[in-house]
Amino acid sequence: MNAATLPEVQRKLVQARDEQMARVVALVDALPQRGDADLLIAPLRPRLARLAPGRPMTVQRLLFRPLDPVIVPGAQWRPGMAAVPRTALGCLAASVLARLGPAGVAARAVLAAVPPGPAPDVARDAAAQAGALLWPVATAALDGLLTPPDWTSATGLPLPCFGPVRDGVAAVLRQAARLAALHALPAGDAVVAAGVAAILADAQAAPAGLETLLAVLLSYGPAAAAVAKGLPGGLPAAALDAAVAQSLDRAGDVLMRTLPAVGLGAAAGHAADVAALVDAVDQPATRAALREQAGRTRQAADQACQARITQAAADLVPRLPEGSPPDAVLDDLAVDRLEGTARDLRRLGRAGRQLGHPATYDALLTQVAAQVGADDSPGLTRMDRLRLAELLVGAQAALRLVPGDEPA
Amino acid sequence: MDIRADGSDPQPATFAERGVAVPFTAPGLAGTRVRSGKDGLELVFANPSGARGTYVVPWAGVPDICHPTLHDLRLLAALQAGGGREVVTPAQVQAAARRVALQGAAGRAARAAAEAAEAADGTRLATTAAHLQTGLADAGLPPPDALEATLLARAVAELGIGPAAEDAPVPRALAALDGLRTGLLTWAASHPDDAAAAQLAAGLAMGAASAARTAMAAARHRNPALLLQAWRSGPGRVAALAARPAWLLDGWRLPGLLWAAASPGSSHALTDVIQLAPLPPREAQAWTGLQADPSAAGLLRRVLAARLDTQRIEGLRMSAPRAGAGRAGAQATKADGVPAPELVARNERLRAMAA
Repeated sequence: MNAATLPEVQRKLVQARDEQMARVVALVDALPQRGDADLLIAPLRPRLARLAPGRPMTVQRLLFRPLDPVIVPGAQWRPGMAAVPRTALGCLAASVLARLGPAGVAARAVLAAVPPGPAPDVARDAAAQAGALLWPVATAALDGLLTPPDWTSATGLPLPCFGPVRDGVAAVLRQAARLAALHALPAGDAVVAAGVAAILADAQAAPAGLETLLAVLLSYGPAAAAVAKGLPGGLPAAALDAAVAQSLDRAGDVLMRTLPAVGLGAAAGHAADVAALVDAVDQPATRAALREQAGRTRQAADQACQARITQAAADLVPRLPEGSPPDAVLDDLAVDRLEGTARDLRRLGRAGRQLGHPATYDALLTQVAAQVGADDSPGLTRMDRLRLAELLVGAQAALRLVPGDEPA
Repeated sequence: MDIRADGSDPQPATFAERGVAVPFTAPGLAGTRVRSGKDGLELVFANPSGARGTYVVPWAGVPDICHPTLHDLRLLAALQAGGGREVVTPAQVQAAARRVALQGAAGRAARAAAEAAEAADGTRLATTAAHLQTGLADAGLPPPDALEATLLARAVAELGIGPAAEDAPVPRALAALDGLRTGLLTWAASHPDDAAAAQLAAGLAMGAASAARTAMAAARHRNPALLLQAWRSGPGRVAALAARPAWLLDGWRLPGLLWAAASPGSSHALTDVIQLAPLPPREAQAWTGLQADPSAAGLLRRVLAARLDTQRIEGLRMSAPRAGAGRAGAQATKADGVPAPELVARNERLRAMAA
């Protein structure tokens, strides 16, 4: 594909239906060398985030997955950022994949054994297993890797940018297995803080790329407070401040672009991460400029959460298939979907309470619960309405909102 | 509200005093038992730190200390319907839980599972009654009338008598407990750090299974003529004997389900199993003649406390997500007063698995 035809193909893809787009993405995912094919799907990423199609895990995607929160479009990357330009990944992958050896073969075998279809637990376990094989070898391959000859042509970045990007990627991949384990823990667990402390203590022994690792940790809400507190011996203030400032910047981007575009469950997760980050930074001991930045992010996040809840409330309206009789009841799958939406709304509301005034979110969710709990909600039994309202505002409030008698 | 701390005796004297495990769906109520008190129904909470003793809360006070789900409120109301002054039994809890699940309060999947279980119970009752009548006729004895056969079948059907006996609730619960024990021992063999705790839990599971099998053997006459004879001379005694296996197995369902959900196992699931593993009251020995290990309660407490401490301070052994029934479950209600919806959904899935 030449440079002249790329925009035309991209334009057609942007206009493609969801299922057509998913097929193209699957084809690109299956390519042994993605190269320019990545450029094809670049404009589709916001839609991909919303649709979250079940993309098969490949070695290359798994290799850099721990870096997901800090990957930025190449055009946005600047020297000194605690981030990785997406354009650098292909270039780094080419060098690393060639050095994976038996670990790469074993990891491919693990991923290939995952049966097709929806089995997130199996896929997650396989990814963890394959990742544990890949990341240490990849880290070793990156350590001391010289600038690839195609660096500038592939990334558009000058040669001196290679070292810092490589070091940031290596710093994250060195801790990738621990990061994956951290994500597997329930939020709020004391083990998360202990895990973060262990990661930071280890990372300080090889501080190159530390800012990127800190930014990855700060992007994960349950870890943010532990990172902001640092270590008993202290983290380098400059590295921490830079990572915090950029994480707050990125949070703003998440609120503006990602929150309205992704599915409600993912939006709730992002909002919770931003809330935890803001809470972690908005502390008396934090430098004034960072606290101010955190305050602005908090305000923006609060508004974004309210807007997303209002936007999502429309998804909680039950819809019977056309031509259904007036007394028809939604099938189990449809009710299950509505309950999933209600759970995600609750999670989003919970993040919102953390960011803004709890009463605002209580009122918003009560309004949604009253709407779904009303007698005239089509296709829902009283129990369906009670349960949906319960998921939003709790059992006692739901009983007050939903008309009808409780069994004695 | 009167919350009593009861630290007097780690091993209750009777099953009634220990209370009955209830399949609540609110994470904060996981592992809670219900028993009758002089002022009505009481909930018995294990000490979440693993320390000795329990907390006793009157049922009306439950909403003040945690946030029960709609399902839990209905279940509590169903259990309290009798006034809460008579001994609460596993059969009553099972029946009340079934009724509430049939209303859909734990979701449509749990309702469908309850409907299937209800139908299976009806079939089992009919085949057990028919088996008893046929057995007596084959022995040349006058068969009982339909009412008597049905009453007797109702008393003993859950033990598994006649065709498809292994599908009955007690044999199925025993098979699940055996599976838990095997899983724990397999885990112990490949995870040295967890070996002692897993072996302890497996030993408790084996003890419960042995006791239940002994009680089942005493209650389940293979010969219908002998069973009918016993019934006619004392139906209450037959019913009481038939109820014992369920008492002896009570409380093992949740740890079994949590362990199965974490298949092939995890350290955190093991902690949940340890935290939830029920200890038999002293009455169990009188029922079965099997000697319980008097040091089990203390050992269990020490192992649990050590595991909770270790998991608090160790950041590197982060092998798998914890199921969250116990400690995490107790902390899972956030400040907004609504139980963590994802944990409630998980508990509802467990309800559907064990209708």
